[in-house]
Amino acid sequence: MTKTLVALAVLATALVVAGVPGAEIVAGLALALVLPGLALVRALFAGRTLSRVEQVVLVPALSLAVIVIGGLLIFVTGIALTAASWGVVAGAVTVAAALAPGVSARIAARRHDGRFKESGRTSDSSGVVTGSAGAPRVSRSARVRWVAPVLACVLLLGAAGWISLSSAHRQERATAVTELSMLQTGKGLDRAVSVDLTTHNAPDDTYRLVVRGSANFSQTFRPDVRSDGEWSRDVALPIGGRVTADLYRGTDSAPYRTVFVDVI
Amino acid sequence: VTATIAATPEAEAPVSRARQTRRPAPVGPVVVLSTLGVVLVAIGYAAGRTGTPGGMIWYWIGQALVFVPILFRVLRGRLTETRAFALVMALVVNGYALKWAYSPDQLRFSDELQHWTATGTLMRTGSLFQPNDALPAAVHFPGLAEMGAAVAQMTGMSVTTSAFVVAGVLHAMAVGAIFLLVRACGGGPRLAALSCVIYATGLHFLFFDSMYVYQTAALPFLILGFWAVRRWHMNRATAGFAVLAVASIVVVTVSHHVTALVMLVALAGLAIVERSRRALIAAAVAFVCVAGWIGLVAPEVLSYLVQPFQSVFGGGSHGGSAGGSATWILAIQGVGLLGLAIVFLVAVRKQLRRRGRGRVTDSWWIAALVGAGLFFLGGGLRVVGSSGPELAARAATFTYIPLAIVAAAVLLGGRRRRMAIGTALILVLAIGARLGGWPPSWELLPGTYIAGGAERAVEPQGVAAAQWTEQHLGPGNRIAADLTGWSLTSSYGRQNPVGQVADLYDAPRWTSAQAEQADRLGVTYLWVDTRLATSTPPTATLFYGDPRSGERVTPIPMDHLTKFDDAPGLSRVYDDGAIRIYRLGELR
Repeated sequence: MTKTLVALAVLATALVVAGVPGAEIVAGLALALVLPGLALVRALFAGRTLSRVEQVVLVPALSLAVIVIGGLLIFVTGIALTAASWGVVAGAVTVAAALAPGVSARIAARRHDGRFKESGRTSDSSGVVTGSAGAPRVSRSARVRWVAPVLACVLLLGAAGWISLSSAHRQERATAVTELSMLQTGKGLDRAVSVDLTTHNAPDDTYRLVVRGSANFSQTFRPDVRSDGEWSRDVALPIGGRVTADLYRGTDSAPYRTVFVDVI
Repeated sequence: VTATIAATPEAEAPVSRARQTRRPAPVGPVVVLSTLGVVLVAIGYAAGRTGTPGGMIWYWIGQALVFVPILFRVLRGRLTETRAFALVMALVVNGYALKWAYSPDQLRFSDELQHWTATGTLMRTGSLFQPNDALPAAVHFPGLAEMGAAVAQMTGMSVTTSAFVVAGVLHAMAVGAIFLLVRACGGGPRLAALSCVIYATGLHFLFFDSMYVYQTAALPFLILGFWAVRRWHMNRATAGFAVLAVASIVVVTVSHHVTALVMLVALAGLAIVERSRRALIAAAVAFVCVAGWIGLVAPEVLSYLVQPFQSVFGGGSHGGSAGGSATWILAIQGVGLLGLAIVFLVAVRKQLRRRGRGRVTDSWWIAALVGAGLFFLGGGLRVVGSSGPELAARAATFTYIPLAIVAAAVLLGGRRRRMAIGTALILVLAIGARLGGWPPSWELLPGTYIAGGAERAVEPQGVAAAQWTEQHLGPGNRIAADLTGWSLTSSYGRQNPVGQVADLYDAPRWTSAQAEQADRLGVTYLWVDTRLATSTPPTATLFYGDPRSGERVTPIPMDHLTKFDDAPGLSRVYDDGAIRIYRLGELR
């Protein structure tokens, strides 16, 4: 178990530091939620039987505790919190804890009054009856009784997830957004405005943009947003005052969007 | 220590010999049936999004399927520890799946967006304690952001996906820790499972306790800390429990201020009740950690924590409001609370009788009774001040844990009749929690935009406008906005939103008074959502620090929102058809 833990920690750390696409998801989750906790449970409670349920809860808890406390220590040392630093800390804790499970056992052996040291089945103080000499054998039928419902649940949750995600995406795609904005980009003799048009999920409409200013200033554009949904143009202005940009859609005569800026 | 919860007056009722020898009924079909409920709720949510009728029917059938089979199986009879835990985890996973399915593509609740922003900032800067205008109080409690950032950076997943994973694991851990705590106190698997099932009827269980918010990070470690102290106390030879207790105390301290203070008070109370050296040591460690952290690292949080109490006792307004519930919902919740109060009184009466007979009771059971009593005391805050309901609900997150344990012990200690009444009570509590919890009853299903709503006010137009502010204006601008705009600009836009701005929007004309107020607040930009003129906000509240909080029974008139077009010195720099952003004054 020790060798396996060390090997897994080293491999996971390497994958995270290298940022291997796909593999880093499994490796990152293992380093964040499983490996440090697993190693620490073995180190802290060696020679002491924890129930399976206790282990299930403690493994992610200790892993996340390593992340939080480790993150604080990384910060104190002045090192940036990156995938590499998180990964190295989680991996190092895993390796260190995996190699030191005997420490706690020795302390326990010295101080323990022997009440709980029984071979085979152990009844600990919580009344939990657990096996300390390895997990009990699980028959094939029992395995099926557990695995079949778990598989069914995974399928059902997958179906629920697909229904939710697809309907949420459909709803988002159905919302068309057309944004028109204008900001002053220069003052005085360099006075200018930047006009931006962005569309999301909007139908391929044709647009006409008219920029008007003082002293009968007027410029007309035909923004094309069909390729990437974005169009931008800097417009130099000969004179200050209010500048208005009206966006017309198709053959509409009323502005679809309007922005205005008091230019100095 | 020999006395345990199992030896309290509310010990589990003995199971008949015939049932004892019978093999426990399998839990697999129950779990599958419960998970089928998630699919039905997802269908209901999808119907809500498309506006198809019948969504609410699917929703309620699904909710019932998720909860009822597990409740009945727990109450039905013998359970091994593994099966009891499997049932509890199925309830938690399915419950979390319901929360995720509501908004599977993005975080929408304002508190979640605040922590999503903090996590993104941590990833961008690689450093802790960075300013967060969305939630300044969270800056010095980075536990959750660390977890989210670590998962996101190590896996390469998005912050949103990582947030879903982290919150789900933490939520499961919290309930698992309750299970462990009851078991460590000597409760049987059924008692542990029923305690968790009753805890799942809490108002905040499905949402606030499973959201990507910093309390979700601290809560499991709070309970684990107590479990570790208990195990440390009982297993004198194992230093591992002491290490675990200290680690839990540290994580709670750096993750959430309120949970840290609750932990400190609870551990101190436990030390007084138990009078054991180890409980005293745990309380002392908690004191050093919490006092040291708040005193040296996060002193500003004290003023943040005082605000709600000031509004309770001073009558002021604090933050937003989820709005009041309908009378019939309050009636259902009232029936549930009344039932819980009766159960609590039964436990107290039996405890007093037991004490009168000179029997020794586990001090942890006494502590559970005290904690359960605090639930009702905290419930009294509901009727005090504008922040009363919020404070009561927040307090219940903690006090509902001992109450759930006490209620489970009482219900399992009774005969068939008490069990039947208890089952009915738990169902009423569950219905009350779905109706009066989160999301509010007017947006139980996701769907189209609701002006002044909560999650349903977060939609692509608002998100796009908020993202525009960061891309074109840069971060940190002082921007006045309604509640939704506040949430979006502070998260997606990384702006510094301003509260107390209702007058700017409510005024029929833009006069020098509005201009002076905006100038005094340092407002540079105005976020104006013209959809606020189209419908009445369901919460009857539209702004942070809204002086008309709970009183907005009509929409803001459209001309009040279009007055900015004619205001001197205001430039409309952004328009998406619904949301307009104005710049105040000249280019700076």
